[in-house]
Amino acid sequence: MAIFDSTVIAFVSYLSIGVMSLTLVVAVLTLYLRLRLISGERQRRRFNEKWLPIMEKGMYELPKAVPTLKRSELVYFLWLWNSLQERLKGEVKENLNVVARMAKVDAMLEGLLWSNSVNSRLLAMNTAGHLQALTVWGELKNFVQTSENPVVALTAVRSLIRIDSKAAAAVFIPLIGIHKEWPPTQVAGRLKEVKPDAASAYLEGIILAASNEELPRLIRYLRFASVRTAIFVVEGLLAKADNEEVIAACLSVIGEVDSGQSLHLLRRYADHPKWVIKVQVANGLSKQGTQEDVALLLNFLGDREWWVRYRAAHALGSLPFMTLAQLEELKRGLEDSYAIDALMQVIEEKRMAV
Amino acid sequence: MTELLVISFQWLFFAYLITLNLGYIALNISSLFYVLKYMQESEFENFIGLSPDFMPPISILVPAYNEEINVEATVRSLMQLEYPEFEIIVINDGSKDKTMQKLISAFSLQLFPEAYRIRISVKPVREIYCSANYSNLRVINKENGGKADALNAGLNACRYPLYCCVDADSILQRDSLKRVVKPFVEDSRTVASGGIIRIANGCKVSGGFLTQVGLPGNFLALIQVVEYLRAFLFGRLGWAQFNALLIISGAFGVFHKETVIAAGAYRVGTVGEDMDLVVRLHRYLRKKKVPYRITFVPDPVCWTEAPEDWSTLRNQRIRWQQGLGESLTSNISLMFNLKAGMTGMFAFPFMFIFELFGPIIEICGYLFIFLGFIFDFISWNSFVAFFMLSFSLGMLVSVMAFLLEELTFRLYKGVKESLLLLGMAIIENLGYRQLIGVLRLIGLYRWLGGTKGKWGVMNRTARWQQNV
Repeated sequence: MAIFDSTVIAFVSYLSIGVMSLTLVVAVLTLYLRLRLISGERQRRRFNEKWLPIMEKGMYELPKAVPTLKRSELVYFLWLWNSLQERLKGEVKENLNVVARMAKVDAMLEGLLWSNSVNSRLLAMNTAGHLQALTVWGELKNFVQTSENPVVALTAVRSLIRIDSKAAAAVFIPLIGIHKEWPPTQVAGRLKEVKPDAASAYLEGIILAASNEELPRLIRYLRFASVRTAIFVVEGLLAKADNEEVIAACLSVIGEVDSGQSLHLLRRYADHPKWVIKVQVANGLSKQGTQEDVALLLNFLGDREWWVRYRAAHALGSLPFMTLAQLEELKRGLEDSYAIDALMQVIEEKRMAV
Repeated sequence: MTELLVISFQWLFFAYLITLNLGYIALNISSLFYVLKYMQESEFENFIGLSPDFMPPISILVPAYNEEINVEATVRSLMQLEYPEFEIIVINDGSKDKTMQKLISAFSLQLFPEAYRIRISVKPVREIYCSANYSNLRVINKENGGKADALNAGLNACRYPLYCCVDADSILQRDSLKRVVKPFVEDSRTVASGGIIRIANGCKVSGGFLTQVGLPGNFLALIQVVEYLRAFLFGRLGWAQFNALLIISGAFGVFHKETVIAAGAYRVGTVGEDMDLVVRLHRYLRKKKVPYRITFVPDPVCWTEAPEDWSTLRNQRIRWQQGLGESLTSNISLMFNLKAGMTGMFAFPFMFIFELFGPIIEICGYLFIFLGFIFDFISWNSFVAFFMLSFSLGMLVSVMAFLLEELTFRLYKGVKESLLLLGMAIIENLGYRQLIGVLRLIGLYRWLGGTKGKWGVMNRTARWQQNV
């Protein structure tokens, strides 16, 4: 019977020995990494034992001197120092800045900003923000404008805002329109750190310059502008909008930011054929609706689309003047079984909440 | 003629071993580069915290069948998730034990007149409950229809655009939702996202959360730790980078609800409803020419109990293989489909050839070489050389998976744990993997025979829940 010839067997044998050796190398490397990790953690622990008391004391009483910080210890220092800074508020933060300056961290920062390690670079940027280091404003601005990595760009934004929020708004808000890859949650987080008045003009600028396709994404950020700007922009957009996504986004902003002056806009779209728009009308009315809107919402309860019925029932239940008894009364007046189901659910939710 | 057949089979087995393991090594290396970059960025992001603004609200679906031991702890841990807005919907799929009673008493459930919308046809819903204490918890009590049917019932009741399916025996990390939702926030094309499942046996759980990571004392569970590392750390991550991920574990995954419903929701009567859905999503979205992403985050987000006895493990693996067969064959049009990109040209054929039908070649290959040696038509040298090659390649793949873990999450602390896991990475190739191969072969046989799948019954100890 045929078997593999000896050449093949020799090849397989050598291949196995090669693979075994490689396995051994990987196993040794894994153990080496584990030992290095343990030794690194030990070093970090020793560093923290030395520096944590200095930093904690320094928050309330500035030290006369601090130990010399070695370059090899810089990253440990920054992790510890930044973790304290992230948790603190007020004057103690400034005291901690003094401790960092005494340790000459600011002088070492610029080098770290160009480190090959993304982690070290991010840490350096964050530190620059806490230290309000104007000296590296140019570098940070450069990261915002040129970095293709959203984490790097938005961390730099965060630091710019800490240094000068007004000037930072001018740098980063105009870029929101261009950088579709910037995660909306992170952009929203940064916008929240800028005062609405400082953000308003730039937000208005990018929205008015945006294409129809881009508008729904950008309109959402209007909730971080001043109410006046948000309503002004939304009114302008609604006056000429025929795209349902844009209309829905505008109505959603009205529901979020307005305190009742734009009720007429919400009501205007109550007869819109698209259900996504009616859902936004119901959402908006849930916060701003008046007695006048009860009939409109009752009408929504009979809509073909479940979401419109559901949101309308919720809106009725959320109206500030609506009591449980009134909801029951409204339910008794309904004939449509879908409308009754939707309202019954809200009545029960309200009852359970009581 | 016989001689030609023998030689052909020898070459087939050899080629199979080399291609399979080269595939694994390639996935491992590509995952390594990705995960190192990911770790650098996510370490800092986790440090400064993710902004809650614009995080989409999520409905968490927990299908439960005879889960009286775990269901309360699971729901309690879900209640404490760090996420701005979410609702929990437990679907009791006609459990025969006290799952429903446990839920009613633990969460003060009250009958609730929900305006239940039947978008997907499911087995009759008996009643819907709402918790008097937790307004975001609802329980659907329905007739038994299987896990897929339970998930579809949950989909009907979802109020939010994204939903997350969680097994009733799973323990999540507090920030797991935030992490798994990140791909949806960062890329609007994302329709599904999964996370790494880790083994909870040996860990300590308190208040519904994992408080200490540990290795299981049970040998079977311990060996599965390495197996899971291999499957998740590079198996899934590797394919996800090419948008060719074919499975998101039913134990934990987030999906875009409307896309799932448009693709036909969960297919009732399948064993592997999780894989079936993901493969179908690929097929549906490719056909519709809709740009999409099905992705995977490498963070350890979900912990689950692994079988500690042979009989449960056997049933689980047989079921998985049946599920694999059903999912792949019902979407066979993806096979070598140029229009389906990497999914059609690489991931699907790889799964089909190596994961589905691989056990035939593998087990027959071992048998052939073993019998050939016994009956003296294969020399001692050939016998040793082939077994050595098979074992060494398997060991390399397992040790590389462990290296990936050491470079990234390093969840198991201490040299002792490292040595133990390295030992397991080697030992699992000396019998365990071959045994699993036999189980997969049985699963394949049952699937070909048309055996219908049911809820996976598992003997749970939930010992880790008492390790407080």
